[in-house]
Amino acid sequence: MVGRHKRSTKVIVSILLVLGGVFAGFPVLWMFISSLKSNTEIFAWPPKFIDAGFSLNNYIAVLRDSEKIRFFINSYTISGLVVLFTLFIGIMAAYAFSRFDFPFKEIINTIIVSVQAIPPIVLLIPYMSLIVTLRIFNTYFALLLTYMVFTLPYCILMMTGYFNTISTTLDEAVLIDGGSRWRVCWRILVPISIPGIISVGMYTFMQAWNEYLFALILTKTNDMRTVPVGINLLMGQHTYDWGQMMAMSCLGSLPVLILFIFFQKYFIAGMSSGAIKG
Amino acid sequence: MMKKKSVSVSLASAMALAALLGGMNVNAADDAGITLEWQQWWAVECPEGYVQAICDRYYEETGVKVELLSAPFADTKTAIVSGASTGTVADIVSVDGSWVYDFADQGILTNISTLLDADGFDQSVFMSQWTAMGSTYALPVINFPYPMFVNLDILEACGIEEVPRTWSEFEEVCKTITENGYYAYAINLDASSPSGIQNVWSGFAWASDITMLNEEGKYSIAGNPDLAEYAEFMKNLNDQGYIYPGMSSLTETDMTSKFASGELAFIINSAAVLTSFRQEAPDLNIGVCAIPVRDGFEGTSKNCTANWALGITENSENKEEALKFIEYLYNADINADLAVTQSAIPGSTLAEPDYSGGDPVFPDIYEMYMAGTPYNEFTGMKSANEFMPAYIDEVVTYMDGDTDTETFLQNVQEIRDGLDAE
Amino acid sequence: MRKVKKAATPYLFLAPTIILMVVLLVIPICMIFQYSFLNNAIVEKNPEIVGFKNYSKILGDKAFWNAVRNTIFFVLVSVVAHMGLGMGFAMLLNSSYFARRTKTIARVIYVLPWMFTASVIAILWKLMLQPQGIIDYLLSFVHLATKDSEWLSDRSIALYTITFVNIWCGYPFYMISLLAGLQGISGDLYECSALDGADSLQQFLHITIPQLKPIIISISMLDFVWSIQSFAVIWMLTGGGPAKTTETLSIYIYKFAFNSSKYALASAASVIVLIICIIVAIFYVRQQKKARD
Repeated sequence: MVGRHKRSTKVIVSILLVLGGVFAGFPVLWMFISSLKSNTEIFAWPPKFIDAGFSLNNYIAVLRDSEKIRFFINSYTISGLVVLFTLFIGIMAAYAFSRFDFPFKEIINTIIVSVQAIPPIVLLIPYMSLIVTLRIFNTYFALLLTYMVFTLPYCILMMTGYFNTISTTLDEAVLIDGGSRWRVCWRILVPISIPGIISVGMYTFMQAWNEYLFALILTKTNDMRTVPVGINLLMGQHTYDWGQMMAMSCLGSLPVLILFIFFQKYFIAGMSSGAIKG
Repeated sequence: MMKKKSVSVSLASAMALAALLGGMNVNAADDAGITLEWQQWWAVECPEGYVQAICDRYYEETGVKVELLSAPFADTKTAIVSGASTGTVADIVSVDGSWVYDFADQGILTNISTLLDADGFDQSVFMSQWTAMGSTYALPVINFPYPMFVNLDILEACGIEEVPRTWSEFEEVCKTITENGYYAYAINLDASSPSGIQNVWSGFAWASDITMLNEEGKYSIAGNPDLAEYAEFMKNLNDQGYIYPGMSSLTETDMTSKFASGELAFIINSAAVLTSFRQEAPDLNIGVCAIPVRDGFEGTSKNCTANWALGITENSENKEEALKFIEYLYNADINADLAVTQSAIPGSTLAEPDYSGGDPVFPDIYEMYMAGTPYNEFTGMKSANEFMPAYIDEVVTYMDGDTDTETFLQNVQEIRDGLDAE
Repeated sequence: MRKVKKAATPYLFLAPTIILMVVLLVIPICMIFQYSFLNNAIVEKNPEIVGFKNYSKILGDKAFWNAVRNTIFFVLVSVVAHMGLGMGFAMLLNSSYFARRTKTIARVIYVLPWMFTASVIAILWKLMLQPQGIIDYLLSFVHLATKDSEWLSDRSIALYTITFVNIWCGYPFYMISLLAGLQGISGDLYECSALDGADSLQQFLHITIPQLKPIIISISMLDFVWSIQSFAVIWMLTGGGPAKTTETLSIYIYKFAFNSSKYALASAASVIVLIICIIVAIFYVRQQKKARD
């Protein structure tokens, strides 16, 4: 890795790192700055990075509102449960796709991938009638099932991919020792795939956390609603409450960001499972 | 064996847990009395708790509970349509004028005329009713005038003393304002919401009695000399750079926020935004004026009007009670107070609003509104929500200079005829 | 008996997935399929079967082909750029050039675009890209834009702008997935090839790419499908305008369903999208199979 051009390479790579950081981070910084401004300051020309009028009023307004707190609690509960169930069911399916050959495997796989292609907006009404028929309209359960269905294909595909990069020699050793398939899946493959599982889990969480359309339509009372619906409810007919919307988005992303910081040790180079790579 | 068991056990427990969480939050049905659901976006526009307080008072007086269901304005239509097709829609729904024909046609809204006949309510209380196919399907509770708002500070800074009354005066004023480094006027033609094509683009023309409908109630767009003159006037303003840039992705909220931040001299918008202007930009020196009319025009202006209207859904099991609640909102005091709070005109003929405690510029708006006739061509129009985006596309193409006036109007006529033929 | 049990094992592992997908997705999709052969669905009380009329109407619609062109551009550019950026950032974060703390901070910053709901992304970018927004302000210093530059309303660049925003909010997903994949590559492989005299580029082409191939194929496939039905960001940025220049298939379908209440046509268009995705999915499954054999 360490070549002759180390010094010049390092400069170039550092510049790239900073440019990438600006590209990724600047819009979010701007969102944060806007969340400290009042509506008119947000639209002022020239735009200001630091303003005498900065205040935490928007945050206070959001945190004082018990209805908005409820949105946050709903979002956490639903997203957390979705991650658990999706991973559980998805890992089992991925294990089957990765380690078995069976009739209809390709057809099932094709269906799982392609059913996501139907635009959700068209799915909305037939799906909603199903939810009403199942008598789970306006419940957590409706959103939980919905997000599981939306995130499962991704989970299965990615976990199949990760499992496929793991050699089968370990599985076989366990099976020969009399261990069950169940054990192979949960005790051998899962621990090795932790980085993959975490990235899938994060993605699943984000999907459930950020989904808006179904969250709006499948619930009707505000006590069942989630953060994205709460943010959109700040969009009035003629005016938006820009500052509060930005504050609510920043608040919403914060816990996820903390989760990510907590889990990121799993992405650090070196702790790899490379030893068993085939 | 082991494995199968644990799969089923964990699945069962998972489902049980989820069912519990779901079940916990199902609202217990209220058997004691009637509960009406009301799908609306008004509560967020009104002062906090205002609409809820009306419902609470209604409950005290009648024992009928009214539960507010909220969705953002932009998604209320989707919520009503999907609710209606799955039987979960509320009893009472807030509707926009452009939805009424289609909702009536699709059987989402119930025929209020029939209900009213059975109920015997004095219909002279309603200042207007929204009809489709000859029957009433929605009742406008309050009406919003769409005056032209003026930033008086900009006018002063540019040395303009009089607000423009005619098109040529308007052009002249726009020129001065632009030369002084401000933006003169804005048209919001973002494709995702049709408010600009209705209230700003068409509203400006209606003030000079220029409409798409002719005296016989037929659409006469292609070759209409009045519409052509109006289009050319607007195109000229745009070519001169008097119109705020980026109109084809400008939303109504962008436009009002730009006005509030003090860089835009004129906008046409609902009187309802006065409340938010006062909150957001207390220092803004706001004036209002009538929309400038075509030079030499001496008739009565048609004033663009939008409304907060209510309909009753076909799905509702308590249609009579729902109508009673709507009638309650036409109560003199309630209607007048709602109108004053929202800077609106009452929809009830009984209401006598006292605007003296209201916004200082509202009396001007009121006077201008009363001098003309309230008008909105898109209220009750067939397939309005398909027509408006298509119309926007044509206006944008025209303003960019890619079609000439004749082709532009011809295209709009064809779109309209196509929809009417369906 | 044992044989039967053995054959059933994979299905047992798949059972919960299959039950969920069939009940909650396959059934509604079949309903959509059925709608697409009716004169109109949902709003029509007594729909009639009209055969393939809806399909021929869609395929004969100029706006449909306009949407197809926009979608192809939007999807292809998004997928390629997501892959490039995701791979680039993952390699940067996985490289040995930086101190651990630098990488920790960079990782958090790089993943930020992922944290927000689509409507917030759209509103934020709309705020930044509007005339007199912060982007115009900053670019005016380097004379790349004026204060009134129209990123979203100029018909010749609006499609590029929405694609750019989509790239911004989509790459972290690739980055994280690839970063996780990179952890799985043994250091031995790099050391061996370094001994053989391979430079970084050769290592990247001959070790990193082949090792990550299963993940690369999976995420591109998913991204392809997601980008095709990407809706909220485009709708809130431009609504498909100005004058249909950013109207993708998902917007086209939405307008049929909710502006015009023509669910049968919306369903027919959706089925066409579904068929395209099934064809791509078949390629994907074949590819996966080949990779394993």
